[in-house]
Amino acid sequence: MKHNFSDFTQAETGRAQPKTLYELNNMLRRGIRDLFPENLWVQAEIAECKENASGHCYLELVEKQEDSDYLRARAKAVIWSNVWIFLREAFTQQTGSQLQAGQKILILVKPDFHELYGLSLVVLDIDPAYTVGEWALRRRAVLSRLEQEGVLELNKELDWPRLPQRLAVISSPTAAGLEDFRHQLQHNSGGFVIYTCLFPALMQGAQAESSILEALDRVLEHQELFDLVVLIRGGGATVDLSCFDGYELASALAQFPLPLLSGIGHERDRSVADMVAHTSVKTPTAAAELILSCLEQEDRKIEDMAASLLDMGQEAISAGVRQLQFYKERIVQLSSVQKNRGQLQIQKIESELRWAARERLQQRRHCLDAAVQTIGLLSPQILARQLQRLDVLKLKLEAYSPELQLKRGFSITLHQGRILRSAEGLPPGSLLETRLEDGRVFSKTIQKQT
Amino acid sequence: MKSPISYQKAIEELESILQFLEQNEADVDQMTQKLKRATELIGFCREKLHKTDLELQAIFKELEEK
Repeated sequence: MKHNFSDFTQAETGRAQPKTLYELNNMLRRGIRDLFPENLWVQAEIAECKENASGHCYLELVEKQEDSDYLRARAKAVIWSNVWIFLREAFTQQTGSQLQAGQKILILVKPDFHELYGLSLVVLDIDPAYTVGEWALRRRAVLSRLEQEGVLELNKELDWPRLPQRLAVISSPTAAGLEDFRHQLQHNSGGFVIYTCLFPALMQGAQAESSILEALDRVLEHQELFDLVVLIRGGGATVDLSCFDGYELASALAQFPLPLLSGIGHERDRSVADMVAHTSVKTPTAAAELILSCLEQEDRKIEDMAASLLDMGQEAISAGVRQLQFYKERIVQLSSVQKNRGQLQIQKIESELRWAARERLQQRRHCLDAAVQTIGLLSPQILARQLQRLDVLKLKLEAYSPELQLKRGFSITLHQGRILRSAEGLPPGSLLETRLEDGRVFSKTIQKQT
Repeated sequence: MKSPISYQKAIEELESILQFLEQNEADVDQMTQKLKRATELIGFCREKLHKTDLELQAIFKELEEK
């Protein structure tokens, strides 16, 4: 049996004439317009955000179930370019971030249904304060989770290095802030040596969190080479920092075994990464300054100690010199006392000697006097006796004198001026001198008899 | 020179030498010995701050290029 289309529709009698799709959609359009005579505020999360060539912004909005990623609702939204120009500016200014996936937003919308494009929420306004508050809430949730897990303060509890010289730097290699940071450290006025090793990572966008986690893993492999991990991001204030608020990254940072210095650069609130880091500063420049100030402090300390030691050494030397001087003076003093004592002793001895000598002299003088007296008494007698003896001696002597011999009739014969005692050796014809009492006779020998 | 294990240890030893010298009247020999050691330690610390460790520099460069 053959049925044509009209037969079929005919068979379904009693039903209204079917509508075309356009008619249906048109009805929906009108219905929705009637249903929402006024614009309304809606909370939603951005799943996707795209700006097309004409400058319109297309959003994919979702609502997830609490504590899971299951979607409860989904809708398209559009911000027409004439509105978008102003909203984008206001939003970036107030949140420090661009509109992007993952953000929760509060928007004023007018639900609209288009026959061809379906349901779409036309966005008329955005409340940036909601997003900021939402971030704060999310951050608070991450922080309280870390706290419950007991890891929130772990990195802060690590000892800050005395000499933060060996730095593992996690940053984007193309960031201007990184170059400034390195330059600042390398050309420091204190002449400090600082080593930096870059572990490249994406510092913004959806991939940032996992990219930083990978970099952290690499640092961990060479952990013993580093004193400090520095997380820096250079660039404008308009970049989204929500990647630094994620739980995974915060947890890894908090539990990292090396102390962390973050210089992520934030205009308003501190990110979770900042909060778990050992120390956080606002910019890469500030991070470099902090590191240098640590080294300067150590340098000062060393130089102070060197100065103290020098002082002590000098003090010790001058104390030694003073002591030597004291000894010297003491010795001089003692020796002069000794000298005086010696002199006194000498004087004493001297005077004793003098006294003894005088005494002895006196004694001698007495003896002498006695002797003289005795001599005085005895001398005339002695003299007479001596004179007598002398007379006797004189007589004896005279008895031996040649004159007396000659007077007695003896003579003395001389040959060549000498007394002739022997005839021997006297040649004949020798001239002889004979001395007699009253003169001399000269003769020649004629004969010799012996 | 007896090389200290770390900067931290060197500083601690220096501090204890200073403390000893401040609190005790060291004799000349003791003083000389302590000052000599302190001078070595200060030299070590200064070197740490100011002298480039070429080996470490090379390691870091290699790590970066990996």
